[in-house]
Amino acid sequence: MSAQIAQGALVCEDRVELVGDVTIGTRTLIHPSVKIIAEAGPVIIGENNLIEEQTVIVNKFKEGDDRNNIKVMIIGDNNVFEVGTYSEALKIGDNNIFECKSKVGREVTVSNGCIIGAMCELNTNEILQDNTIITVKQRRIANEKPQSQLSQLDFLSKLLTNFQKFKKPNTTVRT
Amino acid sequence: MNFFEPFADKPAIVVDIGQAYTKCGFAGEPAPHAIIPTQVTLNSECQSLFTYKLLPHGLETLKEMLIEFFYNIYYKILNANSRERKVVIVESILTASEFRHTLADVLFNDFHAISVLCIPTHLACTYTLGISRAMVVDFGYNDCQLMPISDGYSLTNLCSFAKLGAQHLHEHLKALIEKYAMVTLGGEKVLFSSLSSRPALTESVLEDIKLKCCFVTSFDRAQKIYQEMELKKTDSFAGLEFEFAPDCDYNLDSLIMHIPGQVREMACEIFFKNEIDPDQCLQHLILDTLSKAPMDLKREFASNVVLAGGGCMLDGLKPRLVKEINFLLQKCPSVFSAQKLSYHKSPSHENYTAWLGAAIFGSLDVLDFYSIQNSRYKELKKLPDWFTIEIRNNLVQI
Amino acid sequence: MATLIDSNKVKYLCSCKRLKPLSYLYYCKYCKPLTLKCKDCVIHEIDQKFFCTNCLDNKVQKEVMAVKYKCSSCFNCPNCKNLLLTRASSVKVPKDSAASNQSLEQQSPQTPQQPQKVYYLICVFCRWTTREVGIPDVTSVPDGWKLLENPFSKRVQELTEAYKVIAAREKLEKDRKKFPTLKRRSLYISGSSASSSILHSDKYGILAPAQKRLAVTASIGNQNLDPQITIEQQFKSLIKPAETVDSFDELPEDFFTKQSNINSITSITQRHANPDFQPSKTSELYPLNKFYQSKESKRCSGCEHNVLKPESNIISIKFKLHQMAVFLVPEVRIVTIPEWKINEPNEVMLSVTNRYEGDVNISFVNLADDKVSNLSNFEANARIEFEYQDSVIIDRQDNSKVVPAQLKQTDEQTKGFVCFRRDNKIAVKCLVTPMTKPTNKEPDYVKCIFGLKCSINMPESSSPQIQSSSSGSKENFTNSVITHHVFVDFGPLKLENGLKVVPKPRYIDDCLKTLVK
Repeated sequence: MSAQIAQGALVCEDRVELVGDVTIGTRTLIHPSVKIIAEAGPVIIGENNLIEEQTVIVNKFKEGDDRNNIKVMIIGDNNVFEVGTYSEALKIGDNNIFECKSKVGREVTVSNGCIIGAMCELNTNEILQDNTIITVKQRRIANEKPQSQLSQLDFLSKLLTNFQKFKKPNTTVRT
Repeated sequence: MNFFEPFADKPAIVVDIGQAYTKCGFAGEPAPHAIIPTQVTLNSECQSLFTYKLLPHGLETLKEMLIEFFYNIYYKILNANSRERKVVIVESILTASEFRHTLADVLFNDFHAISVLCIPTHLACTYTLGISRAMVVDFGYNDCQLMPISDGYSLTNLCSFAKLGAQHLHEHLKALIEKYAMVTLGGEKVLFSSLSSRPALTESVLEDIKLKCCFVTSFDRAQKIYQEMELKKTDSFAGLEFEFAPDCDYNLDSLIMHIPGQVREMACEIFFKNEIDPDQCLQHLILDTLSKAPMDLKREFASNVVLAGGGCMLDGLKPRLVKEINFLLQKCPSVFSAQKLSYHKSPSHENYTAWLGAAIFGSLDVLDFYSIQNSRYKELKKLPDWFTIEIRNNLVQI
Repeated sequence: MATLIDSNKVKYLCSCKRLKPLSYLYYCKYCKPLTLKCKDCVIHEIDQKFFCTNCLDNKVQKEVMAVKYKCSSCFNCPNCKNLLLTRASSVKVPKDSAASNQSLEQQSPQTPQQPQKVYYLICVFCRWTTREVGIPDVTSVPDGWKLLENPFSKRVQELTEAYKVIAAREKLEKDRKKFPTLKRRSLYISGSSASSSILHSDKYGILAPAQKRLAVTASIGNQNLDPQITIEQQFKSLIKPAETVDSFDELPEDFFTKQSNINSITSITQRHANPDFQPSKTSELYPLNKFYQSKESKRCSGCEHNVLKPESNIISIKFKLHQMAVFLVPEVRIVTIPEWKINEPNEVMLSVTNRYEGDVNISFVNLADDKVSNLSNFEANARIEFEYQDSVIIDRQDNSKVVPAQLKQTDEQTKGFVCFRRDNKIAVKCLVTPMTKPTNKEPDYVKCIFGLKCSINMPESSSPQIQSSSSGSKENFTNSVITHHVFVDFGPLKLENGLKVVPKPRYIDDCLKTLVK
């Protein structure tokens, strides 16, 4: 099953691996050498997400999971995955920032406005509160969601068109 | 008024080396410049100063550690030249004399301090209040020390101490966590201690848990809990009908630890209830010391109790202690005639009360009279002790 | 680089009998013979010029004291201690309040609004902002965030003042005891005339300091020195006594029932970062002012000549003078670690790097263990042997040309003792024999000592006197020979817990092949 890329989404061709049933929402920007692997069920990525280089987003079975039990991975809107992020989280809300080299495990539910700090590993079994900020040694709840990265997204989408080839969008309406 | 502030330009350095944290700063300032852990990194290993006893070549290692430690304080934190400064050291009266001698050696010979004054913790605390007679209770990391002070003298014969410090609280907390705390693993709650590979409960983790989750419960609640435990003839906190404070979740590495209310509330109970030796708890310790005091000073000590040390910054410790003491006073009025004791509030946070007292003293003109000058130290070759007196330039131990 | 030199594997013996890695050592060229000085035996000196490491604003000691070493415009994050950055944002404020007063009647929903720049602080690491704890935005950056005063400073000030008066009196009394031959009694005639009576009796000006103090004491405390008034009474008249309480505030009742949020409680380091306030809740955090720092120069403890002197310009990170031992003493590093065989010679390679500006002639010396090993608690338990004891030249560091790894004619005569040579670095072979202890127990670690005899040509201008006499001729070199004691710790005898044999690197093999050719 090939990936479904909505109209307006920018998915670089260079070394991008989209394996399995991957749906990418409109205006989402995927940089080169990103891996999105839908092994244990479909991966649905929303709108206005920024997914930077060497990010790996995997929906995979854990050891001992029932192979027939398909789980859907849903990533909301306006999220930023910085360089080298690794995410297995099944549910990610909106406006989250995953800083460089952060790692999120499968049993974490990331709600909205959360920031996972650089180099942080999160393997707990929990639902993060809205606007949680996690840094190496501590975590806290911010008052407001992080600043929107839309301007950065606009800038990048203009710039990247000059240097990168993009995969062709193949769906017109987001399902 | 340069005359009145003879070292306005170069105030003395005041250092309070605590068992866990060291307070350092300048004389005449209302708060220390920095509070740092009493630790040094030697040979890329971070260790506490007081572990020297466990190490091979203990005293030599201690000297190296102290040099490194004071180098940090002088040149990295305070930015002061050691040769131009007087030093005031706040020391516990229970400091090992080998530690004192090494300290003096380092300060005079390696750092060339102008003069050094060692001021006992308890005495220093009284300078923050402007009182001359007081009963000072110092809640430290290693132990809790009581010392009545009268007119600038520590009444060492009345000094008493109990192994009730943050260290013991941490140990107790660890035991309770291993007994009661739960973790969620794969959707199920299991006992923390049943995990095969569990993250270590290090001293710093325990300190953080203590700070964020634990508190000293109120007197009334404690009474209810103990009554119920007595009724049910149990010494476990589980299965009590009493409604403990809500549980709380603590993130420990990649685990979420559920710390039950009974752990949060009962961890600090070691200060007030000791099954093995009932006298080894705070309220008994304070009243015992008071009852031993000389008749003419008793009343004054009772109305001037000073609580100092980082330990009494625990949530709820002070009100609980007061209630416990009042309860004891009512129960056995024969011990002591007063109904209540009076407590002082020093103009500082408790963890640096002693430092502040030394800082006030260090800014005074008379500092020189009480300190040991560098030249004098080189003659004596050692620091006079608490119990030494000087007779015709010879030190005599009494 | 720092981590490479900073390792504690190879240590040198300092002149103060301490063992230090080379990066902690300095040398003093004025002391004869040339001596090594470590960071614990040089004299450190703080520069009197203080500066903020962020804004580079500089002040002298007195000014810094007045602001308690705190920079008023640079802050660290109270949450994670990283630097806070100033962010500007614009808010719409109603146009000038005076103008809006006049046009109150005309005020329509579209009141003319004027954008105004406001600033707040943000930590780029943990995203803490001043807005989060409700610190209002400011309109100007310098001195925008006020330095908070210690809540107790007034009381402390009062106490200090009162104690100062008492102290002055005590000092006076002690001074008096120092001069017992003088008519002490005259002081006790009456309080008010005490000062005048001293004046009369002091013919020789010997009591001048005492007089001054007396005068000031009297004026400050507004008290005459009546011995009837005890120090205690005087003190009480100076300051309002500390108040006592019977009880302390109980914890609020809902504390026991409400779900607590542990993320709202600060950690111990966050509390200690601000000793004046020690906030216990994250909502009480306040930006931490950056502290002023100062540069540090170091002097030789023997001759008080500078061994390290930074440039006085605070922006510069260069040194006026730096005599670090790295630039004089050849640096020894461990190249290979074999699988240790006890009581048998094991072949080990060491590399030696010369960072001196001239060629260095080195030779390895086997030291009698017992002589040196008693020093500095270094228990050497292995014997190290060098098959070749004559001198080897290491070239100087020459950045202009890069020499390919090749052995010299002389190296071939050493029968493979020198097995690698490139630029200013050579590698040599040695035999290390770990020995069983007298108690027949296997040692845990492999440690050994050897002497590194270096002979270098140093410019003659080593002491200022000679320099002036010899009219500064630069060609005048003297050859100085120093033997450094090198202490090598090869690590555990048993290679466990992820420790591995470190094999001979390829470049050494390549170099040896060229020799065969």
